[in-house]
Amino acid sequence: MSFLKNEIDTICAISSPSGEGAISIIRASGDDCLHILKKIFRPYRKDLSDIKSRFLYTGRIFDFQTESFIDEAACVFIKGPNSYTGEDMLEIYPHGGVFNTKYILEIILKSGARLAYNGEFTKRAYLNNKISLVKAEAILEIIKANSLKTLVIANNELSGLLEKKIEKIKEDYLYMLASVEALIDFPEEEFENLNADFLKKSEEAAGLISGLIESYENYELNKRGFSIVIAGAPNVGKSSILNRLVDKKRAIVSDTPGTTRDYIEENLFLSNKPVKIIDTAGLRKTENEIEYEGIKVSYSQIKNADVVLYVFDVNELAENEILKEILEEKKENVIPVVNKLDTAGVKNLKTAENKIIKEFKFTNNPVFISAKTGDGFESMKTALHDIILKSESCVKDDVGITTIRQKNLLLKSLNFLESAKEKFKEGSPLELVSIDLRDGIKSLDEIIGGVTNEDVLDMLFKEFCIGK
Amino acid sequence: MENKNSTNSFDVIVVGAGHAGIEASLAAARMGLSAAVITINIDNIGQMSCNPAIGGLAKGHLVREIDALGGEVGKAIDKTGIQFRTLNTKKGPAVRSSRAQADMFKYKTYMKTALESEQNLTIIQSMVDSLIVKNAKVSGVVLWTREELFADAVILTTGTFLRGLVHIGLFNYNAGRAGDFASNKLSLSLIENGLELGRLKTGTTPRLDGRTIDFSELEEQKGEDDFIPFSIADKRINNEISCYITYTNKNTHDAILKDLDKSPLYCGVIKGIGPRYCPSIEDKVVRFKDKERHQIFLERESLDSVEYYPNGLSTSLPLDTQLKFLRSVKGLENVKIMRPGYAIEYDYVLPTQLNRSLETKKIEGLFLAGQINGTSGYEEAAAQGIIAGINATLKIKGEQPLILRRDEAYIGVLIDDLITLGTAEPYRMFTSRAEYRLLLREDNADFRLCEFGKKAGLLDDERYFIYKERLGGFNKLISFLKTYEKGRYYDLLKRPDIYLESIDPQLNEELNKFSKDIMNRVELFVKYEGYISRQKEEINRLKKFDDFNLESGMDFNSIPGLSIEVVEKLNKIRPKTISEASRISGITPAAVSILLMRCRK
Ligand SMILES: Cc1cc2nc3c(=O)[nH]c(=O)nc-3n(C[C@H](O)[C@H](O)[C@H](O)COP(=O)(O)OP(=O)(O)OC[C@H]3O[C@@H](n4cnc5c(N)ncnc54)[C@H](O)[C@@H]3O)c2cc1C
Ligand SMILES: Nc1nc2c(ncn2[C@@H]2O[C@H](COP(=O)(O)OP(=O)(O)OP(=O)(O)O)[C@@H](O)[C@H]2O)c(=O)[nH]1
Ligand SMILES: [Mg+2]
Repeated sequence: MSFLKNEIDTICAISSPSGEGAISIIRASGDDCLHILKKIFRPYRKDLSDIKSRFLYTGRIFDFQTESFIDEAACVFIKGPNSYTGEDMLEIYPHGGVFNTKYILEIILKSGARLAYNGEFTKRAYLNNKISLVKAEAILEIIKANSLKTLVIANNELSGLLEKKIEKIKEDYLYMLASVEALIDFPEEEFENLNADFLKKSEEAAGLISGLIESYENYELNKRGFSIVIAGAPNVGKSSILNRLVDKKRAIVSDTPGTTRDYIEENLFLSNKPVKIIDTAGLRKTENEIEYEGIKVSYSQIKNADVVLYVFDVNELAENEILKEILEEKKENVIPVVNKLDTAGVKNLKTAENKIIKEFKFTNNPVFISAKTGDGFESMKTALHDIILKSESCVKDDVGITTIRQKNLLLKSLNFLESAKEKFKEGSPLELVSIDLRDGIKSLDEIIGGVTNEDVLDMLFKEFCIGK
Repeated sequence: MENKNSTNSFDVIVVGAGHAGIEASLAAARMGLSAAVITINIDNIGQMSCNPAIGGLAKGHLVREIDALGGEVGKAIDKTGIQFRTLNTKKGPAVRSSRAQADMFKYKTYMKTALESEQNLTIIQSMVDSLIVKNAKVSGVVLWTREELFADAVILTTGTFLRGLVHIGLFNYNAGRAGDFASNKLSLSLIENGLELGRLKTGTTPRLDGRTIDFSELEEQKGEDDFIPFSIADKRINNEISCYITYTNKNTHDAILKDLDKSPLYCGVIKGIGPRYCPSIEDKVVRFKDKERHQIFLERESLDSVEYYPNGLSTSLPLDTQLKFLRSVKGLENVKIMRPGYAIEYDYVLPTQLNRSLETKKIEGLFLAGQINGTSGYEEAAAQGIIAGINATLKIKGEQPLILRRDEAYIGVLIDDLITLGTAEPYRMFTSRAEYRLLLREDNADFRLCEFGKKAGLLDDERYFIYKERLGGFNKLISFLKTYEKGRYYDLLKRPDIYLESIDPQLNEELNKFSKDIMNRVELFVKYEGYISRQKEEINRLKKFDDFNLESGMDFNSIPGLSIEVVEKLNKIRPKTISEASRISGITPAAVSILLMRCRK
């Protein structure tokens, strides 16, 4: 168990983002914090002999080996256990340069601390019982959040709403377990409605678990940022559309079909959401090896896309096998985009629309644009916006899971639950049902915290009239 | 062990001859020590204070485990039982439990005779008032007549007697149970020696005059003649009587609710905490208002008596209320009460102060067993009695104590729960307390424990050889099935609806060599092998944590990150290993990881 040794070391790290700024933050946690502070820091006013927790001290940082003055800085010492990690902690705020900040870190390392691993402060907070595992995960998610939606979900996780939801599932489990145990341990009692209640609770729990599992996909989607793939036959103007959307000459545009070979990805904000726009190689049969590779990549981009902008040239609306596949898979997430509006007459538009809806069987109405003039881009953005909104509202309440760890444990729990339910229905030995239920609970426990035999008995005596 | 021949000096003194005291003193004497058992009333050795029955859910398991270690309770009930049944036959093999109604007078006589047949055992009628303790080590006891008796180990099994207070309505009096003196002084001696006591409560039903019960309309429940005797040593049992089932009704409940203000429980007269699983009828009526009726089993106490025990009607209401509600029940319209139902409050020692061997942590040589540790029930008491008896003896002999793990026996679960969780209500065994229920079956109690009984030097040869023979048969049948026709029948047997009896007539000749009992065990083993190995894996995973020892003097206060509640619990219980710590209620997984960092392997 060598990792255990690591956990009593004092750790430190630069907590502000790398690069120059107004101020940097260096954090340390562990028993040696005070010792280290005294070694490297000399306050202007008082000395550190009766340092107070949570007070801001200003002064100078010295390299204790060379006695050289490094920087002016402010410091806070936070006495454990009332700190983030639950241990003694130290925060130093030097000027925001790259070199001086790193130098100070070096001095701290030389005074006996070691560099923290990623997430180690939060891990210690968990180990020291300051936060649950779920909360630790939530904090990491908050740091990584890239949209309001993901932030709300992570915050709900942090504030305990997710735990509450899991507790609710656990309560259903506990009820089922208590039912089974009541039947086993009190065979001569009469219990009313017990079978029906068991099944009701198992449905309820299964529903809640499945809901959480589904919430993960949405969360992932939200977190990944929405991806919009521009696809279509060669030369219809895909790269031109990308360029206009990102407002720069990002992709090469030419009238030679097959210009774009590799996919091109750009980030931008659409209705306050970070999205990725991906331009792909035009789809067609080709002998050219490089183009062929490019088209293969296009396929996989399309597969992973949240939305596909399928681009036509208004003058030659053509269907092909590939389009059928895309529509099959992505359904209402494909927007037909008819480009080069500037070259078409009014009559063409009506036939184009008919063809797209009736013949090609798109579910969305086409948007007509011109990459050359910029016409129609607003309506294209509105169409995208609608789809984005719809996907967000799939996360019904904003309580959901945020990590694959949580998802896998929920899946495991669901499996045990289903098996318990089957066995109960079939009339298999109840002790086997009990084993499945307990294993199901154990998986949930791994997400939050334990259930004891005592909890089962508590439930049993609370809910069932027993007395012999 | 020198100079133990004098009349006031022994190796072991057992205080109390209830269900715990009997097993403890028999174990010590049979393992070759000179033992004395002191009890307040010799006529009440092995008295069944409450229900005249042995076994029941999870309790049947305990009885068979005690028997496999070399205890007496199984043999006693096989010989003196008057109705035997298996509970949960429809539920599954691990939770099938045996239960027998005892002829309570014959049972007492049997036990008294058992004690009297031990040459090494001195039987003394007296009351112990205090312990003699020097340098945190017990050396004897002081009787109420002021005499001192000496021993290297003392086992207290005083049941409900410590400052026992009996309640019938708002009337109360001092007694160890109805008809017995209370032990009023011993508690003080325990407190003076640094032990922490608590107060619990339990209750019993009125006893009814069978001549005034009309059984003609009641449902009858018969015994089972193919019941497998509790003891390995016994071949048959006799069913002599039936019991009868009746129910309370709305009138019964109204009568109870009307007089609730005369219940010591509801007026706050009783301070001790009662068992939730065995609530009084007034409790049941109040807590489960919607329930229209409660079941009552009418059980005869002895063939030599007309007294009936109405199981399910424990009460401490006044006598006239008891009569009123009883007479509203079908079959009891004209019933007469011979003895009133009552509740009793008593002191118990918080069991978290015990080691796994049942020796107290504070006072060397002092062992506690039975209801004094906060349990309830004859079987729970007997289980602790035999363990305390064995371990006091092993200690005197200078050997390692017998400690059973949670995955080895219900006895292990019982003791582990007591010492790590403690208990705030009378503790009764349930199968749901055992996480390895599938391994801890009644049918394999002998396979699990006979070797322990033998090694401790308690299990007699008769039982041991029968066990060996069974084990041989079991292994032979298993290996036959595994090898015969490439194990085809072994695999077939895994299916839920396939049994050896009907598996294939072609096998009959081979199978006839084996007893029905062995075939049953093999069937169970094969059918549940998957689950059993799943449980075994889990055990092995957890066993690793048994190797992580916490230093005995560890200062939990100084460990950063542990919450105050956690520190308090740890200080109180002082777990010896990480796995013990992890089972303490309120110790979070995070706290366990912190402890892990501090412990040595
Ligand atoms: C009113 C009542 C209701 C109960 N209800 C239930 C129930 O519903 N369910 C259930 O499972 N169990 C019940 N029981 C409990 C069951 O009777 C006990 O759990 C079981 O008898 C405990 O066994 P024991 O050996 O620990 O103590 P006991 O059987 O109580 O025996 C104690 C022995 O110690 C002796 N003794 C005590 N003090 C001294 C002393 N100072 N000196 C010498 N000898 C002493 C006594 O004489 C007695 O022999 C009830 C008991 C009572 C009294
Ligand atoms: N008139 C007009 N020409 C356009 C418009 N959009 C693109 N074009 C022209 O169409 C040709 C192809 O444009 P690209 O943007 O390179 O087309 P593409 O779909 O990316 O083509 P590939 O990368 O080869 O698949 C270029 O000559 C563009 O100038 C438009 O809206 N109007
Ligand atoms: Mg292009």
